[in-house]
Amino acid sequence: MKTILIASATGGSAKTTTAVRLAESLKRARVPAGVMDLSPYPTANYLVREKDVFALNGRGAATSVAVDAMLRPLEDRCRALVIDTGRLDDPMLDFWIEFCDAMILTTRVDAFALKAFEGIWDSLEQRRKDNPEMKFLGFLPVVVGPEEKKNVRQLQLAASRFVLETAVPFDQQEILRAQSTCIEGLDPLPADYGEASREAYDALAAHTIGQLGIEQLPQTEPERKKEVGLFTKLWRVASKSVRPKVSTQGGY
Amino acid sequence: MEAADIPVVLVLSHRGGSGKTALAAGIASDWADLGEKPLLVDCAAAGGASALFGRYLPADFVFPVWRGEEKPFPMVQEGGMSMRFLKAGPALKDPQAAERLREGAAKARCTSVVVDLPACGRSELEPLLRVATLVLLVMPVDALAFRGSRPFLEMIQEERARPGRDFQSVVVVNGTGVKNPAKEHTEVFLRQYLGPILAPVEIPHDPSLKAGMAKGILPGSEAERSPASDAILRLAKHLRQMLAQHGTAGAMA
Repeated sequence: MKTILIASATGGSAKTTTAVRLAESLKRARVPAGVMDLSPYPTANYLVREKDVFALNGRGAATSVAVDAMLRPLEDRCRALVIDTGRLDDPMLDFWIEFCDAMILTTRVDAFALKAFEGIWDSLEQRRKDNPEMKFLGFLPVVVGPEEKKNVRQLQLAASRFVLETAVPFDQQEILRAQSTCIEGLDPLPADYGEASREAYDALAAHTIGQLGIEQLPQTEPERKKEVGLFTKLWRVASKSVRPKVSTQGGY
Repeated sequence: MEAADIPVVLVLSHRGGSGKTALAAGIASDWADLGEKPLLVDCAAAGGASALFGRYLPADFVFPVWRGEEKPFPMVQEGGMSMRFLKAGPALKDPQAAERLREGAAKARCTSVVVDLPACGRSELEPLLRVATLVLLVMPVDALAFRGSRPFLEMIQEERARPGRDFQSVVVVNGTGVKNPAKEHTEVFLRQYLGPILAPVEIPHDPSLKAGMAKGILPGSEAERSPASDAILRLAKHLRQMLAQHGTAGAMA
């Protein structure tokens, strides 16, 4: 089982949403996955929508032995565990960091967050010293609103070699729709996050699987048939479009 | 001014990105404009109020009192504001350091302390709740935040009931007016869970506030007037009155 830590140095950078959506995308990519919520006031379990993706509260495990005891039974249940933590300097993380195989840092790209960005290096370096074997997958720019898209480039410049190529596009209304499904008495809304976000998280899941060498479950027969059928259809369309038109009445 | 008379205001939330820094800086700035000498304390390891001052300050930048030094907290003057500022980082988790916060503020001749805390658990909060005079509970308006706030609010209520605690609390609802599909439900939630604490103060949603802060313009300054910054200023004045009535704040009266 591979453990992927989702952390952030500043607040409101969609850590919980990223952790849950990444676990769901991993599950769609045939990697059984779950979420471990280390926040002092956990909410990940309210956001999970996919069947077979679980969210647990890990705040109770406050020693290395307890963390080990909590993780061991999960090894039979999933191949990837996404850990949603509070802040990089959260003392809870001291006990969990040694069990993490990889880390992704989510980062808001509004003007104030970018200004505060350089402050995270000390915390990041400290965590990398705590577990030198942990792979740093990179910064994940989280875009809230279309006006922030232009700022992603600034983050890339600031973080240069660390930045992931996937930016997760969100708009404020998508986030509110997603979160409103967890209010008691309110019917779940049909589109709780957009297709653009789903594609971005699927790409992030593929990147994570590749980087960590996570073994995917074999395709089931219906999945294989669906993929072969789609491929055949695409091939037919492509062949028709390149076939030259031949006239039997006096050339082309 | 005696150390015991200096009010300590904690700005707390169970969620990140809820506007704690904007509120803490806005309140301290307003009090400074009114002739007070507030000390703004940033407890975040990264980000937080120090980013307002246009440069990154390492977590151990200033802790002169903690190290037994007598030099005062540095005065920060930027973007029209002028106040004492302390980048405490996570050091205030230490109960002794929290106890000496007032002492340090008195030595620096400050009249109040405003602490900008990152979202943290009970064990980290306890040392500061012992010395707090007033606690601002900042709640963003989205539904998930309300759902996650139950244990947080219950924890604050339990802490208030413990012996040795002498703080009042005010709930600040940040971001009202945003088109929230679950707005009605969040209002029901507010009535159900926030009633026993205090009536909530509402601040309208304003995305331009952060853009202003990135330029070093504090909420409420003349260059950045908006309904949200006006609401922060009204809150600052309301808190000043509350502290004056509370009696610990001699210079706030």
